[in-house]
Amino acid sequence: MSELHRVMCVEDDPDIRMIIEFSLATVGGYEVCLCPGGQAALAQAPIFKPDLVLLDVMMPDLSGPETLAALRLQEGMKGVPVVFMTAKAMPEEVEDLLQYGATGVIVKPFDPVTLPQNIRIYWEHGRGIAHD
Amino acid sequence: MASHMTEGLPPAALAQFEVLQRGFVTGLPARWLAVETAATAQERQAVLHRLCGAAGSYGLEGLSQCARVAETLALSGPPEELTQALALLKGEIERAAACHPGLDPGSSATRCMDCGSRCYGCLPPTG
Repeated sequence: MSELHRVMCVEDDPDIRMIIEFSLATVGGYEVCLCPGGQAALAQAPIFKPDLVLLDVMMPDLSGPETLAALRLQEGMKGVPVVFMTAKAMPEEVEDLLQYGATGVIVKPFDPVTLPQNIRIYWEHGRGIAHD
Repeated sequence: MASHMTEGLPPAALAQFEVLQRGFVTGLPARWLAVETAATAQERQAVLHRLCGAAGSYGLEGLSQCARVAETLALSGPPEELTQALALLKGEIERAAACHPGLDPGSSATRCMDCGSRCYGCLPPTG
């Protein structure tokens, strides 16, 4: 398995994008590509070539599951781990998200200090849910 | 105003977090306006949903919890309970906005454990 360096984050709320950038770039040391929606992610993915995608569920243009499905159709994106971010963390909702083919689910609000460790756990160990 | 979640951060990263946190707090009145002026219950719920997720990630746990309660009531909760939840949320927003206005970013005085006076992190939650 290659190393985790490049993380694409898809999130429509600008304040959350900023705290994610702080978390993943400043605290985690990852190279980060921030996208304000699903369409932007579909445009940036072939250029940025992420090692992992952090994907909001509720977005105005494309939803998280719709974005994931479209990303999977892109060359080179079929096996890239995708982790959903959601404030809806009931077990059945999380299971629904995993059924879309996500590697894991990060529950919002998240701790920006531990977020880099949590996504690395998904990167290394696979499916599950992380609560901060 | 830094919270327990930032414990252990290097000073430069902590200063950066505090700048971001201050920027988020500065934008809270606009978020409250969006709550107040939402055209539909669904729109209000969506605004509250985003506020809940963002506030907690910036270390404002009390505000996040108030937003979550209001979000759960936004669509079909009893009107009087929603009114009460929104009043609590407005109080939390005002407390956050009143915390250390104008201090230099990164100053140790911006941290609630150091201030000993009016500070969002030091005050007990409303309600």
